[in-house]
Amino acid sequence: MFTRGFFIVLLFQALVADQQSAITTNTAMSESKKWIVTTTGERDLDEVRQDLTKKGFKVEQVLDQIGCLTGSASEEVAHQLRSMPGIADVSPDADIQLPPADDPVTW
Amino acid sequence: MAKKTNGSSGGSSSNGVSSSVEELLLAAMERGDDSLETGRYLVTFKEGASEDGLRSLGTTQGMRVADARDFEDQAATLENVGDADALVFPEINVALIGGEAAQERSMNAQFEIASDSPIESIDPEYFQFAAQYAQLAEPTTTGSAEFLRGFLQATEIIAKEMRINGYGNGHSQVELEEEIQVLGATWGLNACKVPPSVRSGVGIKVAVLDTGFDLGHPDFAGRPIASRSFVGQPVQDLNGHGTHCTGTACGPKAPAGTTPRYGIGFRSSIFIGKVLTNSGSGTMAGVLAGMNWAIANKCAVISMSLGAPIGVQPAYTAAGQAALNNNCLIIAAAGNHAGPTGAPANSPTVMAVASLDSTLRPASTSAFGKIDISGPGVNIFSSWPRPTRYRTISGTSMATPHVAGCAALWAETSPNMRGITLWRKLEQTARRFPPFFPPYPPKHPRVGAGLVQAP
Repeated sequence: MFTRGFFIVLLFQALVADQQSAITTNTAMSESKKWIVTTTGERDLDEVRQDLTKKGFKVEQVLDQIGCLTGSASEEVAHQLRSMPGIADVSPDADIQLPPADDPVTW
Repeated sequence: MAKKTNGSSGGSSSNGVSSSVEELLLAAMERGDDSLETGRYLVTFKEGASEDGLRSLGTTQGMRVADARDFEDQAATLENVGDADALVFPEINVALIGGEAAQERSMNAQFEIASDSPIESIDPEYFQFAAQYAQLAEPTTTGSAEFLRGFLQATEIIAKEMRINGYGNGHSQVELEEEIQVLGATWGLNACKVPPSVRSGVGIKVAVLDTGFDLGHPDFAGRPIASRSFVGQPVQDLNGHGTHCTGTACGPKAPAGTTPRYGIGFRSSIFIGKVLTNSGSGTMAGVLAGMNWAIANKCAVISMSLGAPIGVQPAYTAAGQAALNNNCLIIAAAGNHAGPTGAPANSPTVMAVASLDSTLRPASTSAFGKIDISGPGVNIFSSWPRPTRYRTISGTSMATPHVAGCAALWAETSPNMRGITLWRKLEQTARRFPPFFPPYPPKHPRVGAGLVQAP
């Protein structure tokens, strides 16, 4: 009796834990941000693009002239990319906003 | 952007009651219409007759009529009137009629109004611009006086500088006379010694990455323009910033009428990369895409009057290096936040431009720190999208195309005058002026190497 009850408790805990981990994963997945990846120029850009995709980075642009890629991923994925060979930098995309058109002084 | 709605004719209309100002402006440009008319009509009812008028539009004219009273506090927003042909404002006895609906019923300024009609008059609706736009639209007498005053101030400063530097010989007099002969150009072009230059930027590709360009501006008729949008909107500039910057860098040698010369590389090849939307916003990803495009097209000069007050961005530094490696030069505005130079200008591989006024003092708002060179950036007259055509505004955004335009003239002097060689030339030939003389380590944090000069 005791063993069966204990087993049920364990099973229940395992289920809860699984659900929690699923929730954590979902949260991380939903917090996808835009990133700018700068390469070192030592590796073929297409290879880098494939590696990024494998890591879960959604590549949007491959800018061959300047050796940069843009796209979206979670913070965790972006963090992992920083230690990948051929990657010089991974920075969040930044917004640019000129002052309103009727403003006499601009950027 | 406001959603388009169908007029009573069933087709979508670019001058309907619910059309956005952008749609109306685009439609006016497509018509080649400089009259400032929107294509819609304003019907004024006789006093106390707006109720009858409202009814007459609905019954006699068969229009779908929206009433401002149906909106909370009568704050009718045009985008929310759906497919109405007319919007009535009973408080002021006026109704706005969509262009198509008016046309179908021959309702225009010549419309014959019966004496018993509740309608008093039918008039075209006109675009409205902030007072400043209209005032600066044409170089008025006041504008010219201001411009001349600015010019005189600049020559006084230059004369003073020559005396301080021991250049007080016949040479300085000749130079001053030369400058007086070139009246008819903006103070910025004169300060950069553009009018006496024999160079035109011919054969040099100049990319302007900004809010696009007014592709139908009469001052650029016949000029080859390559363009590309990176923001999902047409290249046509409904903001104005991009048209102004392009005007300074690439505008004509002799604009029509009494308009002073405001453009530098008047025979350069224009590359317009729209990296900012019509509301002036963008992302680094879009800007980088524009830089990539300009470098792929081997634009010797890439002018960027944009940025953000953030630290050095490795991607911009990489783009600047790629430009130099490809014999291109990226020139960027330091910013007007009176703080440290923003990105991309703060990258070591990108040339940072500060702004000077007509007395050659740095503008109080001009960013500082990493500054490589300066350009005229206060009260700069240049092109603006039609129907305004010209406007005078300020910023390091305006200083940057002065440097870009001069860079195009320098690039024309030799096929080797590219990339880092061009950068060094611009710095070496820049005009040093008090109180920013050397020695300062190697460039002054407010004005860099000094005021850019044409060859």
